[in-house]
Amino acid sequence: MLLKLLKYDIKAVWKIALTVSLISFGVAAMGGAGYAAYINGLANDSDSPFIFVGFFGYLFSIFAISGACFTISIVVFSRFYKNLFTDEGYLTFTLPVSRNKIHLAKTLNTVIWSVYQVIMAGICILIYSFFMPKSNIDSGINMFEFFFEPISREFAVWDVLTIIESLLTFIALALFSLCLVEMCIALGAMLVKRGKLTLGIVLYMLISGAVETAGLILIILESLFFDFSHLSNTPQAWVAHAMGAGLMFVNMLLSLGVLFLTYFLTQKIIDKKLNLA
Amino acid sequence: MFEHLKHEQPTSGVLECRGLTKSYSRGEPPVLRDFNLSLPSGRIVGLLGPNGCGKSTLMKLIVGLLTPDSGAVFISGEKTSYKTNGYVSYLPERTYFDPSMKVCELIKFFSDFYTDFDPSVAEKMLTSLNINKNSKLKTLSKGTKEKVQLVMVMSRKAKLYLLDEPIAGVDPAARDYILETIISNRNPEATVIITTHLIHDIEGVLDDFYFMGRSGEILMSGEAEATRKEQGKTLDELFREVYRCY
Repeated sequence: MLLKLLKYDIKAVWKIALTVSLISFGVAAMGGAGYAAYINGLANDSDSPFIFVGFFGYLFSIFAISGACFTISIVVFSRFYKNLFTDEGYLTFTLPVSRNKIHLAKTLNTVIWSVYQVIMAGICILIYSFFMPKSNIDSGINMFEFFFEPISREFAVWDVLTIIESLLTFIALALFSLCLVEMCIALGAMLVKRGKLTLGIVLYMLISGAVETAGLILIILESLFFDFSHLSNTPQAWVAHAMGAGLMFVNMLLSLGVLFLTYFLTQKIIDKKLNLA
Repeated sequence: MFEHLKHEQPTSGVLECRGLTKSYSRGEPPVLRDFNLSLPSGRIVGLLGPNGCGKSTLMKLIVGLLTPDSGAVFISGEKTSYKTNGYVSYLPERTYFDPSMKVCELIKFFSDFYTDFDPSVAEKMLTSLNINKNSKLKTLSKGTKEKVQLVMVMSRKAKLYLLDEPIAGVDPAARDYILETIISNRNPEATVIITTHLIHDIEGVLDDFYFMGRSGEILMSGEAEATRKEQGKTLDELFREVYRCY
């Protein structure tokens, strides 16, 4: 049943996602061409106004692709809201499927389309790079190598445990940001009968603001245990020190904690506090 | 006044509500208070009452859309849960399908999730109602959407059908067709519960009736035909009389 639910969720989004992706790839190609025209124009000391058109076209393409990713998120979350908290909930919650599975399917759908957006953005970057002068690509690769080279050089410090902790923290935080949106939509739907979605958006802004503030406070607190003078040293020294202070582990636990909290709060609302009109 | 008409509640059946109490918010009087009901299988039952008496709330409690404050609902002896939704076919009093879906996609959707759904029955009914399977729901009129909903719900071979105001949104000419559809397509061993205040239109199809009071209590119940003979009145006339007194 979980797979069937997921199938219908994916089916409802794929057409829009595909259309948006194809448009994005086209826009990326135009943006890349615009950027190439701009760079070539500068290199040739051209005073043609078209080089600025190329530059602004490039800037526009970045905004357009960001907007395209945002559109997919809007479609996915609006489906989450409509299927669960509007009249469509009368169908969703009278299916012979447990509410755990219904919620899990929605969350998996959100994750799948978020991964899709990352892939889509990656393809857009590849399209950009196709148009870029070789010198620009080389300098990008050099910057990347400069940042990671010290870590790869002393791999023993950046050990397996730290990689796992960092990866888990990253995944947990990414999932948390998705589950937080779902939780706010559910809270908005639970608290009022009219303007459910508006309240959900307001709650998201308030809670995400509070979470960011809490993150800052956490960094300040962590600084009590962590000597930031190591930041001036090599990255591996920073990592070694962070591990020594157990900060990676604490951050991982906190990230997983907030992820489970948001997921189960949403589940609780779906289980007990459905507010269908 | 009508105490003599009240039937003894059967002790077992397709549906049993035991001590159901439900209020929507704290401090407000409950919509249903200690509500008890037991229905045998194979009957068409009218749950009749004025607006706000708890008919729709009761339906939502039966399908698990609402959680009771106390009490429990049993369907064929099993406490209501997502599993019992597998043999309860529920038609809410509103349009509740995703408007971006086509009618044929809905048929596929129902086939996927309900093992008792018969797509050939649905297609036959849609054809007789002149509804195009390839139409998107958002392009259909409200009345046609309601017909599609009824077709989907009645194409299941469920044990219990819950029809909340099935004829309220359709034109009088279509009402007879809908009632006929309900009677001819139901599983003969199944019980159908119909809520409505359009008693005149449905009383001909009812086996049993329940008049609900404003606090969800049962004011009067009985077998439709026997009551009509005994009282010399239609259920519609009786309803008006009961609620005039009430």
